[in-house]
Amino acid sequence: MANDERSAEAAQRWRLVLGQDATGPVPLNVEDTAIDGALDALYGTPDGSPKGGLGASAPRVARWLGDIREYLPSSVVQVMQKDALERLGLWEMLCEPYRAA
Amino acid sequence: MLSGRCARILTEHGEWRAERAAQQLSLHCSSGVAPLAAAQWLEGFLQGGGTLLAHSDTLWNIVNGWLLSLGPDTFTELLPLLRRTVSTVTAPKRRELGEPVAHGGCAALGAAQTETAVDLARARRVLPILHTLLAARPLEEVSHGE
Repeated sequence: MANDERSAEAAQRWRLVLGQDATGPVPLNVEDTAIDGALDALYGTPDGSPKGGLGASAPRVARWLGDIREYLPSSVVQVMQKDALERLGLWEMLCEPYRAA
Repeated sequence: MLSGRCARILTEHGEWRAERAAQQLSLHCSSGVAPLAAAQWLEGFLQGGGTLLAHSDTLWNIVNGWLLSLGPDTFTELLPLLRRTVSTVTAPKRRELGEPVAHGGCAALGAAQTETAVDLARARRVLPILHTLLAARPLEEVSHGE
C-alpha cells in the first residue's frame, strides 16, 4: 500500500517536471494543475498545440501572473517573470500595449 | 551547474564509465546536498541532452529517489528550475524520460527500495558476534529487552 502511494507520488512529480506530453495523463490536484499550466505556458514546447503559450495575449498573461504569484514562492516568481520577458518577447508587448488590445 | 556539465561531457566521451557518472549523480543529488545546488547540478548534467539519463536505469533511479526525497515545499520551489532544464530536452527524449512513469516503472522502483530496507531477522543474527567482539552486556538481557 505504501508502495502504491509512493509510486503515485513519483508519477505526479515526474509528470510535473517533464510535462503532460512526456508522461501521459497523471491525475493532479487543483494547485498542481494550476502550477503545471503556468509552467507549461512558459516552458512548454511551442508546437502550436491548442493550449498554446502565453503569446501576446494580455488577459492570459494577467492570469498567468496571478497563478504564479499565488502558488509559487516570490524568489521563483522573479526568475519566471524574467524568463517570460526574455523567452516570450513579452517585453515588446509591454512596450506596444495597443497592439495587444 | 558547471560541474554537472563536466560530468556529462566526460561520460559522453567515454572518459568516465557509467558507474562513475552514477556515483557523481548520487553524490550531488543526495538528501545531504542543498536542493538548489542539486537542481543546478542536474541543470548542467541534463541541459539540451538527457540521453544519458533516459538510457540508464541506474541514473534514472537515482534522480527518481532524489525527487521523492524532497519535501513538498522544496519540490514546488525547485519545480520551475527543473521544468526549465527539462524544456531544453527534445520532446522524444522527454518521452523516454517519462516512459517508466507511463508504464508504472515507479512501482518497480518502490519494490527495489523495500529490498534495501533493514532485514531485522538477518540483523539479529549478527548480534551475538557483535556482543562477543564488544564484550557488552550478556546476550540474554538484550533478548529480554526485545
